[in-house]
Amino acid sequence: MNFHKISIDMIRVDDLTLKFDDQPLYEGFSLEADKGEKVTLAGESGTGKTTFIHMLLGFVIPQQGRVSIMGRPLDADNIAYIRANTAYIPQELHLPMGTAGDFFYMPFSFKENRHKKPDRHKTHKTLKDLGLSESILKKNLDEISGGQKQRLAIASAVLLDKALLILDEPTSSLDGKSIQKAADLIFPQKDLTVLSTSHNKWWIEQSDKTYNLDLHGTNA
Amino acid sequence: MEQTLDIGYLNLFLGYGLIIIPVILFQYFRTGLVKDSLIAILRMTVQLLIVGLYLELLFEYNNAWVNSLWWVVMVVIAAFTIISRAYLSRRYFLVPLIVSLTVSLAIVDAYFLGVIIRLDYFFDARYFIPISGILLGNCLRTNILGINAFYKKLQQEKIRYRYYLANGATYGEARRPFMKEALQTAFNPLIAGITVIGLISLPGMMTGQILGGSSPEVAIKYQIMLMLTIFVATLLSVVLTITLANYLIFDGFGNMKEQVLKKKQQ
Repeated sequence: MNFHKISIDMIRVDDLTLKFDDQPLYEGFSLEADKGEKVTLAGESGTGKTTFIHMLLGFVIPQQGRVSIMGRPLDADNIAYIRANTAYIPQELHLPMGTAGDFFYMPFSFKENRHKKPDRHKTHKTLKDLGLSESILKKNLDEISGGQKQRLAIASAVLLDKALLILDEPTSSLDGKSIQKAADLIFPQKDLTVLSTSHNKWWIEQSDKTYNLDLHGTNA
Repeated sequence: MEQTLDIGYLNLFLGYGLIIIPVILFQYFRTGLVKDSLIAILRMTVQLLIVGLYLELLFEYNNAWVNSLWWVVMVVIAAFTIISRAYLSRRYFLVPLIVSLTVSLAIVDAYFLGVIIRLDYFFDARYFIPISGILLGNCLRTNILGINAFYKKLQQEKIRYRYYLANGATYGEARRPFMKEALQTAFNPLIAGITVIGLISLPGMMTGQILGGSSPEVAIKYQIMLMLTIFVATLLSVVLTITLANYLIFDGFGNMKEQVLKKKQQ
């Protein structure tokens, strides 16, 4: 490992051991994602894909291994920097708020993201790319479908314009056409590194690299 | 000031005769509450007798140090009570609770007794002890509600909290929505109580003062000040407790440590 290599790695995980309720999810797992690479974690439910994402975001502490993100070791000193440069969508998100617009603009209310709040034109275009019309923002959150909510979250995360986008099962509530639209929006962005988990075969095929956690981290 | 009529011990004993009514009703409906009620009444009697003795002594000496010591004892007991009633971990909450109750109570006591009533002798047991007691009693209730709501919500809605953090929120920004909800839970009952005060019930302190010979006008002024100080002291203490406890409760990554809430609470 040399210094130059670390600086272009967006994510580098070496020899990781992660346990959940004292059961090892994986041992000696390694993963690399270069800047701009689109990496997908595949594998059956229960293989620890979400736990891996939580680990990358500092919510789960691994028992063993070295993890660096954006060239910085994943530790308490760097976690604020790493999170500030990341956009993340969890698998299922419930926010106790009124409209779809509140949901969409919520991440832009943080000091870190305030200056990135998109103008109407940008919002309109991104929503359109995902097959949504701007009028959806006025609807109550409980009036829209799971798939629409997922696409809204994707639009919001992309517009945050971060270096790293982490998506946990972004395709789970989407139909084939919507999955394609989401991929068309996300994958061509050259500087954006994307780490996602998915069961969707087409999504996996579009990725630059896939890690299959069923096999404890081999390239699929 | 006119003295309140004393209740003779024989008459007090007659008063206990009233218990027959709940005993019969509870027994008739087979509620299983008879034993609990009798134990509760016995406990109340013993506790009040002891407190009565203490207060007699406190009033007799009326010494600033002794009164302050009693004040400190009340604060510590309140902190332990909040911890046990809200099923909290002593390790994370005892120090924050003692500090926050001390600070909030000291500020509000100083304002009420020193600035509003302008006591010549600040530590006068007649004012210092009961007013601090009422304020603390209210802090107790509100802290239990507020602390419970905050940490329970954070645990139940971990996904939401993590979503905020992982999208660039500071710890303050990520926890603010939970604080908002905790304060709503803790303060809605208090605000509702303030709204209907005097209409539905006469507050205890006012009743006590009127029985003690004060004019209703004086009693009302005290009650108004008391409600205002309860409002401020409880709010200060809840916000301060949570703010201080957060330094101990979250690790360097902003994750809530395990065992913050005991099993029964979760």
